[in-house]
Amino acid sequence: MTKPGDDELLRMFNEGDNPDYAFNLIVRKYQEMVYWHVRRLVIVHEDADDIVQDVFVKVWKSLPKFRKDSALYTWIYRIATNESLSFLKRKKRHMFLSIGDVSRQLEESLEADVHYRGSEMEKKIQKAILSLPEKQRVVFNLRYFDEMKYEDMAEVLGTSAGALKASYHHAVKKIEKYIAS
Amino acid sequence: MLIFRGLTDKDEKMRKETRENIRKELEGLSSSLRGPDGNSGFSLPDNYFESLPVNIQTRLKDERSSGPSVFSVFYYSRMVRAAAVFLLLIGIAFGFYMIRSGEYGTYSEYAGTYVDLEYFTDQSYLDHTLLYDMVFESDLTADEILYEFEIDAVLWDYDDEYLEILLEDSRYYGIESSYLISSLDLNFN
Repeated sequence: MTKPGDDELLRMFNEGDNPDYAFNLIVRKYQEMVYWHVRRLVIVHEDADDIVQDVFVKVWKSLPKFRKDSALYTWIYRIATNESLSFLKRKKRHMFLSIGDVSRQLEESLEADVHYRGSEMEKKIQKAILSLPEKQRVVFNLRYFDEMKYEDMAEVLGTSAGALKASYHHAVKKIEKYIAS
Repeated sequence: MLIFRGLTDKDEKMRKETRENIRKELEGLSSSLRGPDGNSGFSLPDNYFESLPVNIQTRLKDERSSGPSVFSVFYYSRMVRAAAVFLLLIGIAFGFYMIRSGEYGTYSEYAGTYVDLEYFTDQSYLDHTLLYDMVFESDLTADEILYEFEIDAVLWDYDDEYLEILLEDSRYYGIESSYLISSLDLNFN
């Protein structure tokens, strides 16, 4: 059976008899992508789980007004990125933390995470990533883990592809340096 | 490597091509990074992705059955955000006016400024003086201020109505938005 593409899913959602079914298909198509993107940013599974649910509630609310100026998947990524960064910002504010303290706390969460099964090298790479500024972390993750094209990243982050390429290259160099230290 | 359930064959083919390009790029940049392997050590409770859609459906049912219409709450939130951004524009414009009139220092002295839009959207009232203080007496850079704009406006940026509200408010108070933006570019960077 052919899997429906995004256009077909949107048509089913907007014009079909059963929008809930269509939305469920959208959730099933994108849930893993969204989850892993969020999880890498907030580290803790329970936080990621809450955020992912918030993301899909927002998608559901906003979908009737989605105008296809961007691809559905970059639009969903955009909402997921914003929700994750807002979460980190709230955390920073509520706990009176500086940006550096948030990174350190995320590192501690990684150490304490009962769901983390990575090798020492994988953990070191994660810590190196956590040492990056937030936005650069998003850029690195989108390219390295989510294997996204610069053009799509530009849609997600509202920045030029050239700037993102420079940011990713800097991030790789920083991580390399961290690993070597 | 992640396998996204539900991707079409065309999606998969494009993903494969992009993956190859990224690996080649990485080879030229790093000797220690070799690309992602599985989920980089993160793991999940059993059957998580089976239960997630059910949990989301439950959340949606709660949203539908809760109190006033979701749309009106959403609309209200947008109005508050629009008001917060608008007041920020007023604050910045007022700051420029004060600086130009010689009562305050140069732009460069205020290159490090702080704005927390979320703080304002969380408030039930919006105070001009407080906003002015936030803009000029804190330690975020201009880039971070613009970043705040992105974060708060990004969900709505496909919505012309939102943009219209901002422009209309700016016009009402005689603020030339292009002048404001060019001033920011010239003096904060």
